[in-house]
Amino acid sequence: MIDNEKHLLDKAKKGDIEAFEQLIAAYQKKVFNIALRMIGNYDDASELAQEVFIRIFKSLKSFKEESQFSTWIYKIATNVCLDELRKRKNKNLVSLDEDIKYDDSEIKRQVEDNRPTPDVTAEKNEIRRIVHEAIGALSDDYKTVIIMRDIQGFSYEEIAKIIKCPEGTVKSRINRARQALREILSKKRELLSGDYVK
Amino acid sequence: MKNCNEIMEMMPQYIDNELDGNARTEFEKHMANCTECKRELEEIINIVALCGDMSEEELPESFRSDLHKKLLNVKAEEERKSKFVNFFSKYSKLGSSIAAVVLIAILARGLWGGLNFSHSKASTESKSSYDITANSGTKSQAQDQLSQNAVNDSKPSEPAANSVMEAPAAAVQDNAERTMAAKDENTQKAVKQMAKGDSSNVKMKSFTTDSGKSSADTKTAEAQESSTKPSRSGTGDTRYGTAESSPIVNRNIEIAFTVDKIEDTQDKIKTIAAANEAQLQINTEASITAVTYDAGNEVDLNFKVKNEQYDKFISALKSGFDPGVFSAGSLNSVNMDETLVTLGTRLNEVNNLINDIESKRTEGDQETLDKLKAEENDINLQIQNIRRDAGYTMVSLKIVKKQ
Repeated sequence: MIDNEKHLLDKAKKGDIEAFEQLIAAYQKKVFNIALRMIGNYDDASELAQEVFIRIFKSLKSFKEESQFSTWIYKIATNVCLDELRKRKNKNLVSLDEDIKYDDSEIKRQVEDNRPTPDVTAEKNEIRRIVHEAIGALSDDYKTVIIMRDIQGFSYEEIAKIIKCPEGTVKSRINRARQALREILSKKRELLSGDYVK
Repeated sequence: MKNCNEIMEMMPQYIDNELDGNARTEFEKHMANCTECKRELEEIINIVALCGDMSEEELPESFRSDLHKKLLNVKAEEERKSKFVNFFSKYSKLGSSIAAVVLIAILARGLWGGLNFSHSKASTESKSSYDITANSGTKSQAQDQLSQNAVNDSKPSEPAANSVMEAPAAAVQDNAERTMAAKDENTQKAVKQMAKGDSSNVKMKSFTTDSGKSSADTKTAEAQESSTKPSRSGTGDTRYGTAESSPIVNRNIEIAFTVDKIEDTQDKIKTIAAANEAQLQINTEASITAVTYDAGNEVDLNFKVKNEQYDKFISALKSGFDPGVFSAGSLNSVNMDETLVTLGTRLNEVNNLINDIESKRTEGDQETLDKLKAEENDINLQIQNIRRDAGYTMVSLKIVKKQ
């Protein structure tokens, strides 16, 4: 842990909100994007990412400084997102199929919520929508590792620490997750052929 | 010799270039001979690339301020809890003694005064405990109010940027007069030029006068001062260097509409814009390029809207179209202070050169002089545009015909 981070952490532990905000500044965007990909909805992801930081603020005192602060943050972020996904499934047992199928209105809502970057073409937006939708249809475990590895670019080692799994398990899970994604996307052969990969 | 499943287990390492010599050779050899595995590998590589291409979204605009507010509430709540715990542990012994005395008193009175009396007393006790709760509720509200104030205090001061726009001519004049004290003659000229630019800003106010902000108070004069800071920094005049300055911020956002009929959408957007005081920019001199463009399958429309009106305009656009049609990028806020400093510095240089040529201190033909004067005008225009756009958001709309 670098000195400045340590200094801010000490202050934040004593309830200094400004120090806490400085401490988390570098992680906010990534946590928000993890939540966005896990939950699929812009506004909910924003709420959830805030919830992550509230939990971190509340439990700062329990943070053991021998572990890395960033790993701890992403661990909490992943847990909060997985909790939320579980809660949603429990609430909407009947609509589980809909979750997987992503009916038209759901897709439209998500596209709107995701606010794709403006400089991309409509085609690229469409591809992203399809991939986003396919990731959404993965099981929570697969979804987590795909988001961590292939979207957020975490290393196997980091993912292993975040999800508390041996590195070997992470690798094979990522392998299976990619194959599951391939299966879901198999209807969109043209996507897999590489013509759209730029 | 490994079978297909065993080879496929090696795929993550192969994709990440983590396979060592022998394993890599074996993997590649298998791929060269097994069409099915090769196809799977290619598809997985494409999937990894597609995932890597998922855009990283910007944080929602209100994310930080919302979180700040929540953190303040959490802190206030925790402080209240810890105060209560402290109070409780400190007075728990005393409290239990008092409770015991009260209980004995009630029982004794109950015994002597009969059941009715003890009942009414108990009600009184209950009421007083309610009052305590009510008081603590009020305190909590007060803390919330405090938190709210703190949030408001920490918000970036956009209105200050607006006040620059609204600065009265008197303040500009005052500023120009104060800068006359500058030692260097050329510096004076440069600063006057900047003040001239400000006067133009005041003229621009004619189409944005509805904000109802008050005029020539000290504060706006100060804001005006800080708005000329870039030029002074350029001249090396540090008299106002320590003054607090509000950043000049230009905001912009891009929104795409994917529709069947471009013309209908265009008309609808224009109607919504007119109702929300968003001004259509046609081939403007705005600092952010804003040119209406029509190329058959795609139309660009650019609007300039006051920051105060922005949310209303965007909500109106959003609710005016089906969800799949509208997709917005993130709102960008660009701090233009540095650009203003650069422009101010160059303006100074140009002014010095013009002055030197005109006063025949240096050699220079008419052509050079004309070029310098053109550059001077151009820089003044750029400065003026940057200032004019502060307090506004440029909304660039791209209407794309559905394929």
